[in-house]
Amino acid sequence: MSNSSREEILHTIRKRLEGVGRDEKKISVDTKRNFRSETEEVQKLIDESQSALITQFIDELKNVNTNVIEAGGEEKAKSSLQDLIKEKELKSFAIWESQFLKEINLKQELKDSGLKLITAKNKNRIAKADIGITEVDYAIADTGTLVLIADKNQPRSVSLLPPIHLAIMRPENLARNINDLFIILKSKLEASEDITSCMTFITGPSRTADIELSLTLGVHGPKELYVVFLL
Amino acid sequence: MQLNNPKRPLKVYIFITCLVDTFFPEVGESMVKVLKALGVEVDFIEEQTCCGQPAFNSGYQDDARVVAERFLSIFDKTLRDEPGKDTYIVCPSGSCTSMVKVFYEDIFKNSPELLNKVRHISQKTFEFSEFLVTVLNTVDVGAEYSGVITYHDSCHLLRELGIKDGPRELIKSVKGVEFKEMELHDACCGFGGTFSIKFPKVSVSMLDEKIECIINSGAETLVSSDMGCLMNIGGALSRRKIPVKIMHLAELLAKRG
Amino acid sequence: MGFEEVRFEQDSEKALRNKSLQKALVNVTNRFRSARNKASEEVPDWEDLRTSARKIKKETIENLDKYLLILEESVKKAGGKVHWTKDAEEASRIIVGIAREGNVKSVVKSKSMATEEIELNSSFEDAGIKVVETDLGEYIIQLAGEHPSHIIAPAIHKTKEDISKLFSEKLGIPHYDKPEELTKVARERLRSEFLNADMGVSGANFAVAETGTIVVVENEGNARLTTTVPKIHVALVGIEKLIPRYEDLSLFLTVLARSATGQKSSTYVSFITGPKRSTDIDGPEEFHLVLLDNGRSKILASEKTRESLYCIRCGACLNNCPVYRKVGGHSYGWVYSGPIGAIITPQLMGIDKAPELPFASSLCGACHDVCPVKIDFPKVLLELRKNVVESKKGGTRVLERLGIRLWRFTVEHESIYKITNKLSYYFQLPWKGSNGKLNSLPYPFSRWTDQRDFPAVAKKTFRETWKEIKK
Repeated sequence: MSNSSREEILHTIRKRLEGVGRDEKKISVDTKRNFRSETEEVQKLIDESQSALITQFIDELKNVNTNVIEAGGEEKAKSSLQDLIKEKELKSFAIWESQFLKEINLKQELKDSGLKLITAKNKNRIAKADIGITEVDYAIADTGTLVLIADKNQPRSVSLLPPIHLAIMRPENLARNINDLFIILKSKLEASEDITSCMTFITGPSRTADIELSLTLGVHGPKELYVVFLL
Repeated sequence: MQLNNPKRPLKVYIFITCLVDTFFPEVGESMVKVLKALGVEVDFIEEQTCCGQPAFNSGYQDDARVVAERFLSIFDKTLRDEPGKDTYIVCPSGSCTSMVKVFYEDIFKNSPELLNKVRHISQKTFEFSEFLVTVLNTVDVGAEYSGVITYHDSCHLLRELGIKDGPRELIKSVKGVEFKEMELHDACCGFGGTFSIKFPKVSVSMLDEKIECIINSGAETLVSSDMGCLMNIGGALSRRKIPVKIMHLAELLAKRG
Repeated sequence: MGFEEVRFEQDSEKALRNKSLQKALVNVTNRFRSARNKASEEVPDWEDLRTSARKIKKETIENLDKYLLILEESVKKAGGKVHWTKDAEEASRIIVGIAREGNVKSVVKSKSMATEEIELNSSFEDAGIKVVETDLGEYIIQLAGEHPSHIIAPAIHKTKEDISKLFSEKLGIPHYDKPEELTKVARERLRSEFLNADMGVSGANFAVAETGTIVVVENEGNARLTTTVPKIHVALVGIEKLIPRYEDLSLFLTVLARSATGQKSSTYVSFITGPKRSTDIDGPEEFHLVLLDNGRSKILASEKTRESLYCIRCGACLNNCPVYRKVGGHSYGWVYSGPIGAIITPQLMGIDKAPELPFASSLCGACHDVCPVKIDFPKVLLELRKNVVESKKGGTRVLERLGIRLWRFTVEHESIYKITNKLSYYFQLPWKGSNGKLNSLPYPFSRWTDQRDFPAVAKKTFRETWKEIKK
């Protein structure tokens, strides 16, 4: 049974490591780093270099075949989205019920324009949605990565099942690099007990090079990724 | 060709390696010639035979250890008896030098007395090009040779000892040499000691790749610092009647117009 | 596809004769190698990152029991279940058991070397449960009934014509020429599998002790689907995949993609902690972490080989290995190939099952140069060679042992050494060719002279010449 294997495995490990000098008190996951103050420092550096970060981020997005729509304001963003819907003849959508998207009333406006709203609660239905719309929790400038955190208003499948994923974001979502991001995340983690069941890093649309190393986009995940950057 | 004036006279003991001693004595002779021309006193301890690497690499570590101990004792004793001189052990092989400088530390790590000898010896042990460049501070030894040369980085020399630029500087300083870097110059030639006999077809396929790079470089002569590599590559070149010469770095540096 | 014995010499010779494989190997290793070089050069403190990554792995492995307990606690806290399995048989049994309990009829799998190690698919098949590989490369080799030939690109030994033929035979579709068309077929076929599957099985690149998070890195999106859509998610993770803290991920993710494919980041990285929360709209209802030992704890004992467990499965060693790029993954006889295969297969399966592998290397060290956690492959290989020799005392290595005895006797006595050289000079004459070299020699040295000339013993050895030149 699993329990006795547990004991056996632990016992074997301990026995095999007998020769290693181990300081029992030193085994801990606490590094004594002050993530809160590190976050403050990092945030300052991010703010100072924001316009350079934006440029870098947009370049990196393009490097990984992400379509970038730079929108100077909410109205521009919404009209770009409408253009896309028309161009691709999209009929249905799934969307996050997240704070910013609610603020700009995007869901209702899309419904009003004739698009069918698909809920994420039914996996078969959302797989048939033409587009999934989300915002981002964070973004990483030097790799062109979007960071999405699952919660009650932010289902995972919206950015996964429909063939097109569109993410709306703002400059304040940006971090310079993955180091920054983990400092920020860790500090948040320390402040609250809860961790999300699923955080996803997304860098470009789905791809493979498994057949003779030739790059093909759109394997299982979304074939196309759009980022609407509200500048 | 100026030698930095050392505070004390330099004396080099040749660590000849069994391969050079038995099959390629001209490499040893060249080394002696070059060193003497640079004003270095050269000596040779006749009791030496092998450093133990063939057994060590084949998994026979107990046998290797016995042979290594003999090597250590011979060199340690001799070098301790030279109080007035800066003594060095110079070797025309990256792999044998690595054995002493890198692997001996591990073999004898549980024997403090022998470990002492290892430390005494290994800090004095240098591969030939390394000795010229870092101890004698010399890259131009006054050699002359007309020809297009390419260089093969032997694995232990490059990766265990970190020697990469020195040999190239030495080659480029030879009057009349046109140096051409080949592709995959740091890829293994397929020798690997007994590997070449245990898996000959794999070894030769690696050799094929190396030979293709040599030919593509346009070089007429291949230079390297390890006779293991050179006998492997040279053996295929001669079998296939490909007219590229092989030459140990020491031989090149001993050439005079 | 079961594991029997590694037959490196035999399989490597076959691989060398396979022209399309040779072409594919040159392609894939060149591409990945230059991409990795470029990606690592872009990171100014790359060498420091490697040092730090190794340090964290060392810390983890040397305290593995402690960190495993922390991991277990964290996973449970997040609502997941933890199963400890000591070998392949137990792991398969437990996973099939989870499926049975959940009334699972079909399973989707994302890429996991550990699941191949335990041959999970055949256990599912034996239990009458349908299992589908969803990673395109793995899907291809599942259809073909083969082992992966590369850690990152498992089907790289197949040309697109091979794959087109395979798809049309096994899936009953017309022949497609282009990779995009073949990929589209896979996408459509597998989409319905994802939606209908009751259980998803994944591996993990890392398991974070502090938070109980498993991390899955991929490009296709199939791992996201596997770990999101079905109601049960099982993650099979080798115990060595552990890292202590959440923020350690920043370092490891930086070195992983760059080392593997040269990408700055792979397309998707999923950080999964337990099953869905009660307020989540989607996600699996059950999360099971199956910890796999299968010989890993045995490797802990030897200080010289313990670092084999640091591996983060990036495949950089394969792409840089001059042997791998000639012989390909199948020559290594099991799911792990290249330098990492050469060191862990004998340790996990037993030296007696793979005695050739530690010798199937020229010890060049190119792997060590690129390993993100600085595994010293030559050092480990030398130790394993010692183990092979010691385990076969008096066995099949009689000739070699005799040779070593003779060699040792000769080099321990300078006078014998000198006589041997002198005698060799005369005895070699029958084999000496017109070019002054030895053109043929008796076995085992015929293995050299079959394709290369061997140098002749010099008439006057250096030590003989020395007597003259020392003056």
